[in-house]
Amino acid sequence: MPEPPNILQQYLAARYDYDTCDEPFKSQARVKFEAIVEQIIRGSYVSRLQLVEALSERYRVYQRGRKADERRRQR
Amino acid sequence: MKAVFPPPDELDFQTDERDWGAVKLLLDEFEEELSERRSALLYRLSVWKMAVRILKRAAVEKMVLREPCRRDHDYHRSSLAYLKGAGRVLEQELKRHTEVDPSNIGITWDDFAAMVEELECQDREWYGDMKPEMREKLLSELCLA
Repeated sequence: MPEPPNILQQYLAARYDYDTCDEPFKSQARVKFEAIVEQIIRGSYVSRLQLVEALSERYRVYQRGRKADERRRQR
Repeated sequence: MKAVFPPPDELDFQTDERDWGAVKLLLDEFEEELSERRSALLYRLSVWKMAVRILKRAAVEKMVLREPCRRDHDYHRSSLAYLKGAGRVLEQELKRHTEVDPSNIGITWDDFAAMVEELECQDREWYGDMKPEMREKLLSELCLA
């Protein structure tokens, strides 16, 4: 049975959805993203935007990979 | 006399059609509407929404799928800051005008607020000033390092 994605993978996927989804789904994507952020920062003094900033490099790598995959599939 | 050429990234900027021009045009349009206050709030909202969409598309092409040059960063940073600020202004105006319903242009109030918030995230991701040591410390505290 495949293992469930870890919290970092969940964060990256949710951030990507929030970034790329169409406008009528934005608030829905935001709720999902913020739930994962809350889960990560719970019990710490880290703010939501600090976490976003701290994970920015990882997100960029993830985003580049997903975009490149999408381009390949479109061709 | 030896010819002096601009650096390669400057030339890239001038010859690439998929450049920041579309974003700039929409920002100019938005600016004009804002300064003349001649049209409805919903119109400004729809221009803003379109500008955000085009900025994102340009950012993917110029910043994500390619290595951005300094000029890309400059355009991206200023457009992002402008749209984020303009989004906050629109948010305030929408709060005051209870009779204006953004769903008339295909977006709910919550979706609009989420779009503005998302620009905030992008701004922090691209232009935050967190030092690498702080980043590592924070991620290890959260067990994400």
